[in-house]
Amino acid sequence: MIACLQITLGGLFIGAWYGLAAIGLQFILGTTKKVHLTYGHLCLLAALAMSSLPGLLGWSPVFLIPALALSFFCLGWLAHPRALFSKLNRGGSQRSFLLVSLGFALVFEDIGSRIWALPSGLLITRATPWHLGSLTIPVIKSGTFAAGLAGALTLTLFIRKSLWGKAFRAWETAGSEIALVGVDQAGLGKKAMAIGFGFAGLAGALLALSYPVSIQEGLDTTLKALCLAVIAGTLAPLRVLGVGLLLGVGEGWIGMLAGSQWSPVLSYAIFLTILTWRNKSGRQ
Amino acid sequence: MNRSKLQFYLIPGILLILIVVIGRHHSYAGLLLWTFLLQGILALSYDFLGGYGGELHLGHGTFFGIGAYVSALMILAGLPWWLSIVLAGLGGFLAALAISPVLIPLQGGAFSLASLVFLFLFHSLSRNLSRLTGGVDGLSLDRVTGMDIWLPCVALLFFLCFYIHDSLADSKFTRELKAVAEDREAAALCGVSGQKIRTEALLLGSTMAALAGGILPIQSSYISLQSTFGLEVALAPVVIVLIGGPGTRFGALSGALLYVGLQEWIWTGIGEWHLALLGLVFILSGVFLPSGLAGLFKIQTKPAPVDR
Repeated sequence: MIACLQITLGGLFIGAWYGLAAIGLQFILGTTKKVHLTYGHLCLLAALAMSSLPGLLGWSPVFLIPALALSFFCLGWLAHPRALFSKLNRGGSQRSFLLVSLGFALVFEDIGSRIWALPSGLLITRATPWHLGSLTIPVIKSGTFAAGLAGALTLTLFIRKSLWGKAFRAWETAGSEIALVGVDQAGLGKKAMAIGFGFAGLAGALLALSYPVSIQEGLDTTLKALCLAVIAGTLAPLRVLGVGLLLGVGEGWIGMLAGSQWSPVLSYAIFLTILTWRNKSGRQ
Repeated sequence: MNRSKLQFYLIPGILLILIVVIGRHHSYAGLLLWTFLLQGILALSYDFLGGYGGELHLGHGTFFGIGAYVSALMILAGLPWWLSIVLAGLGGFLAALAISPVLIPLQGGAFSLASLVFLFLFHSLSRNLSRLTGGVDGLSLDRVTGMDIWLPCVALLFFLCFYIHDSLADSKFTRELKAVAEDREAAALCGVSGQKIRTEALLLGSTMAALAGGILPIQSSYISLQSTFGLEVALAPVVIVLIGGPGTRFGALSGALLYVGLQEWIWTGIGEWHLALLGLVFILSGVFLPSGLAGLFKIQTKPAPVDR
């Protein structure tokens, strides 16, 4: 019984990270309708920066987590100038965007693998885990879970309650027609990218506290986040977190029942089933 | 076939034969040619659903991998190499047929992801069924044939794919595919079945890719998860078609030529920072060539005359 609970708990912790990582990509995809293939690399760059910066600067990880999230937010803002957006929005936009984002992913991978040749992580092990009866609850992973929940809630409130959130929702449903009522798409695009990048920075920084990472896993991270974003639907941060949690718990259980090597096979089968079901019920 | 059409195929055909002859005597040139022809076949086969069909078919490499494994297993079972290639094509066709009920109804992002998930699924299956597929160690074969066999073989397949791709470029088939890609419901109102035409495109492209995969174990005498179901293998045709220009007569070919040439130049000439440079090429191509190389040279498929 305790073993079952421990597996579920472990799944919830890793699932919360999956969800947190997918929230930013889902926001970018939902608003701009662009698949940002650099996203996973950004998460991992944040994680790798988190693994090195405390040693280099002597800063506390607690301070570095929001600092990295904010830095990536600014990076997202600066890296998507209006001119680039309007250029990419002209003819064959999805094609151009995919190529450009894939290109940046490769550039980051090359640079990242030179700076961090081996998998790195901050891996804080000093924190004593909590105990609930025989159940062990790791402190750092609980923090990731709480951050995932807080991030999803904050973004949901932002989307539902703020004026910008309304603009994003209008953009999601009406597409380019929002320009007719004077909404600036390029400006919204910049903001969406900044928010998405901010979440990538936050997720990456938290990942480094529990797991060693390598920049070579960037594309896999993007694809996993993309799967979650598509299953959960657009502009639904809490739903994407929920799907991430389910995936984490599912992976944990499948790993225990069928052996860890079969866990991805069954995850893929579940993913395909959900996609087919959503399509048949007209919710593609 | 009219005279100009004949010349259109004859000249590249003769050139190809000449190159193959040269390639057989220069192993480096032969290997370079092999890479170009293989990428060309994959890009041409991708272009049906990925170009004319308007889908981002990220899992196209699945069928290449299936073909490679079927062919290797058949050779290990003692079958002649040529029959193994044929069976590889058949394996790819059957796999596409089995997958199509799930994949074809999906569109856009859902299609791309589902096709990618199929790639991962087959990758995982090949890794886990290690008794059959060799798992992470891959499958090693005794030397099957030399360059004098596999190079003409891949050249022949390339020419066949080029011929099929070109002869379908202005056909009713591609017009219907384009119509379905643009507006499925409007196409259905005009009597075009999206399900049927997209299934046909998937089957055609998958069989071609599987045939190409069937030649891989003959060329390298070894296949691994990375060389068959690897993400780099699967993404190459997508990138090539994006660079060249999707759904155009020469887009896939010009993209393959640029991609292979650049990769080779970067690997041999520059060495360091090869991945970053390749990335830079993608970025520049995305920003400055929004319609691909085909768009740069205004190479478009001519509109077909209206049937009366």
